[in-house]
Amino acid sequence: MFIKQMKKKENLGRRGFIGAGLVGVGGALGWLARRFQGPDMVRKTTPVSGGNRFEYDVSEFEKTDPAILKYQPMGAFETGLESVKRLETTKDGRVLVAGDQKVKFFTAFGDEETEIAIDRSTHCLHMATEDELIVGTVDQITIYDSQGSQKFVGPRLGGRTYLTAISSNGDSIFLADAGNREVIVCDRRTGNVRQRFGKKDKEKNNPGFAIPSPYFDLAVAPDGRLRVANTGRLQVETYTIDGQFQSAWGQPGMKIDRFCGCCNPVYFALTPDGDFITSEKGLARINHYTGDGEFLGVVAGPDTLVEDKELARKACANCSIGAGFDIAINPAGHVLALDPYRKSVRTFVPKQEAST
Amino acid sequence: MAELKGPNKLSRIGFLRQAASRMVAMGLGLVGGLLVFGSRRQNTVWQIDPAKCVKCEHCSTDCVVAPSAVKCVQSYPICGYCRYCFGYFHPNYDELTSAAENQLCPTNAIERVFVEDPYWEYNIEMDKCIGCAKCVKACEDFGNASFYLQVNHEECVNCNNCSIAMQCPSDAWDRVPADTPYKLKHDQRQVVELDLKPPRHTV
Repeated sequence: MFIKQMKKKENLGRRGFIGAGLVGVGGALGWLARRFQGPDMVRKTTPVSGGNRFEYDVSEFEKTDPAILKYQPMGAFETGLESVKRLETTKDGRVLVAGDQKVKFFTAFGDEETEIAIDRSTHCLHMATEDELIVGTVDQITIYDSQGSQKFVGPRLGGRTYLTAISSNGDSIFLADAGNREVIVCDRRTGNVRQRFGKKDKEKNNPGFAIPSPYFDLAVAPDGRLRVANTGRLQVETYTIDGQFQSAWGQPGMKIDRFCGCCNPVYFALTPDGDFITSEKGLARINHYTGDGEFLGVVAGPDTLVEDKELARKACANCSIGAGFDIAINPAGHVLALDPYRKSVRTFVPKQEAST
Repeated sequence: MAELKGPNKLSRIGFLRQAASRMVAMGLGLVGGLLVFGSRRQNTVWQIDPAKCVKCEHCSTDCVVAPSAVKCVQSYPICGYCRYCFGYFHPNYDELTSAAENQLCPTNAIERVFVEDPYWEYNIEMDKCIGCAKCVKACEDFGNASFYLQVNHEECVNCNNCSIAMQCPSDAWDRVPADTPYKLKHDQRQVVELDLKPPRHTV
């Protein structure tokens, strides 16, 4: 009896052993299933599309009222550059484009003439005289003659300097430094820094430059005073050439006569009469204002400048600061715009001229 | 030979019984293994990848928690402290003031605080935010994209099948480790800065 019980126990023990082994195998399989499973899956359902009641809709600002559209497109030419930065025209109508690590010269009709190779990315350029082209890289300027021969190399300004615009007057060169939020005044012959201004200064009534992104344009106007785009304040400001703040114009807003975005106008050009042509990024548009900031009309609105949104999205896939259309005015009074998406130069002519 | 034919010979019923019991044992082992070793799942929570988010309305409307556990957060190192903040002001605003008609946020969940001319700070009031992403879209389109959506783990109940994740058109919803439950644009130090809480519910 006892032996039988023992045998029974032995039999149960064997079964139990096998059972325990199987539990162990199951456990191991469970562990393996967890160890090597893919990412947690979401049981997706078809998104319910009933329109977005919280949609941020600015489409009304992307359309331009024909009544205030004063210019119309009149041709374009390709630059052949991978990235385009700044645009300039000469008195004889030639077009200069800075981009990649070069400056390209084109005829007024868009035929490529020559190019200057630069050892670093070109940030800005300015045709000071008919035979003096100033090209700026991140922290240095170089002067070339009209044939592209190097005449002078300025000292590297170093530090946080990030040059974005150049202008000149007499023996002074004015540089817009977005990195330090200052205007640097250099000696034209030596390139040495004479003065810096732009910090907030209550005594001089200087509001200070607020530059949230590397867009900071300036130009000496026909009246001899300096105009600076204080982009963070969404204003264009007037300074004497020794840096004394005088006045400002510009209102923030999406409406057509205001400056939209975090930092605008990104570029501006002055007509021989002292009027402003301004260019904005974000809601890309080019407008015409008087010298005092009175809105005159639209050169090109978002519906003209960014016709192909998909192209713009792809072209700007890696840029976190947006892209602006640099502008220049040719001797015929036409507005030239440098298209950062198509890498082309587009021409806009006054409507009255186009109709005659 | 005789012993082999003896009492150890397995009958058909016995074989079936044994096979069934072993299969049950194996199944129990599998379930046990999943429970014991399934810790990876236990330690994950839902979070939104800001790089994939397309700013649709689903985070606001599809959460089982009301108002949604998804909230806008502010990345202060990225913010431009703009006077004219597109995430704050309605496109058709009249004045740069905090009047209700000038604000973009439908629930007045953004606080605007003057820092110094021309800079203003924008803070999200979590208890008012409904995660609609209107301000996020505006800030991305016209500003520095410092506003973005995150699941607030103080409110998220961490459903097994998140109803927003099921609807998300851009697969922006991920399971992330519960000890790093936020996908922040700047760095994890912001968890303290933004007073973001650790998960209360894990699966």
